[in-house]
Amino acid sequence: MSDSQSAEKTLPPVVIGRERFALGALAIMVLNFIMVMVVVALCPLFIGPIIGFSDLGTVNASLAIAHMKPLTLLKACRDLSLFLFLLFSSPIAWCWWGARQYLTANTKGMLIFTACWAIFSYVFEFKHDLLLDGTDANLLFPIILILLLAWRWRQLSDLRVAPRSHP
Amino acid sequence: MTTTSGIFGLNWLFQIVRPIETLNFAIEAGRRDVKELFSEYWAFPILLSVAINTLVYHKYGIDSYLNSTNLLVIVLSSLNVFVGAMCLYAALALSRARVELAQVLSAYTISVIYAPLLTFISIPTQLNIFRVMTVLQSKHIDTLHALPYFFTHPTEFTVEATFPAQVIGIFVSIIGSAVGLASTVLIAESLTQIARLERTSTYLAVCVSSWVSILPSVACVWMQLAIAYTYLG
Repeated sequence: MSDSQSAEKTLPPVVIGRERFALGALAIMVLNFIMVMVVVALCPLFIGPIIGFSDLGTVNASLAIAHMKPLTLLKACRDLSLFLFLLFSSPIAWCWWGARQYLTANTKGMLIFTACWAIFSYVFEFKHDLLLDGTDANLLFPIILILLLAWRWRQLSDLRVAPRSHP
Repeated sequence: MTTTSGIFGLNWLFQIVRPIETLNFAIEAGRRDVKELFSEYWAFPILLSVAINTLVYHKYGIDSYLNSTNLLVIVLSSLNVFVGAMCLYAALALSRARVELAQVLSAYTISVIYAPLLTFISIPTQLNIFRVMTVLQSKHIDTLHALPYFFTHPTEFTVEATFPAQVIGIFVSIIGSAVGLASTVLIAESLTQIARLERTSTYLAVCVSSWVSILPSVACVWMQLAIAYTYLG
């Protein structure tokens, strides 16, 4: 039996504890938020013209788009995409940092990110009077995470990813 | 036949309530033989999803027109699952992760076993789509003009939901999101562990692939709807 075969035979089973699952779920949520921002930034380039052309009867802006020459339209979409990408690049970087804190179970980083996220959520929800909406989960998850952190503060250190050893 | 499907049904119920245990069994099966993985873990959930879809189609009398329609619907529904797995494999390959297709398929099993639940949850949406298509057909709008008409008259098709229906709708949508989120985490985490990949890049690849796979999935659904529209009873 070769080394690789014996290594395969001794492969440990997949173990996903509650904390690891919760942190993974939070990371996926933050990564999904990044994807939403990326899609919105790319939207004018890919989806905008399609919606614009199919929605001619109702939206005046679409009519204006429809009367543009293809090259002008493409340039306008490119400029808008660039603008949106620049607008979102800072939140994207921030969310990327936050997702990494969850995945590496860095307790201090997680707390900083979660606190900022919670403050942002509260400010946003109060400003837009969405607190009683009930469908927005943004507000709920930071609270769950803070409770989770408070409950299992010490045990979380066991989840930290060990630094990679270089050959 | 009934006994066999009953056993498969019980097995599937066990799988959905014990996801991590199922994941480990699926990984073992995938390591032995991918065919075994498909027959033991993929076949029943896919067939169940297709059966749910077919029942919805049957309600609108679509299957009474042409048998090949059913076959096409089955192929397209099944294709959706494989498209998701292939997108994940491609995303991991692009991120230069050393991972085998069998490992990806084994990890993706978790998404497959929850597929019937998500199909079941989407029944009201599907019924609403058929309702809209019936209205479009009653106005004698052909397939080519259906989409532009739908976009230009969106308010014509909205239905005001009553209080309990609205609450149930929100609850069902939360369950759907939770199942999707849980299966994504399990796929990402199991891939990280079985292929010994870097956690952050694996999670990112899984997340990106779930977004990218929307496009082919939408294409599959559009084809199904086009077939349904043609044979709507």
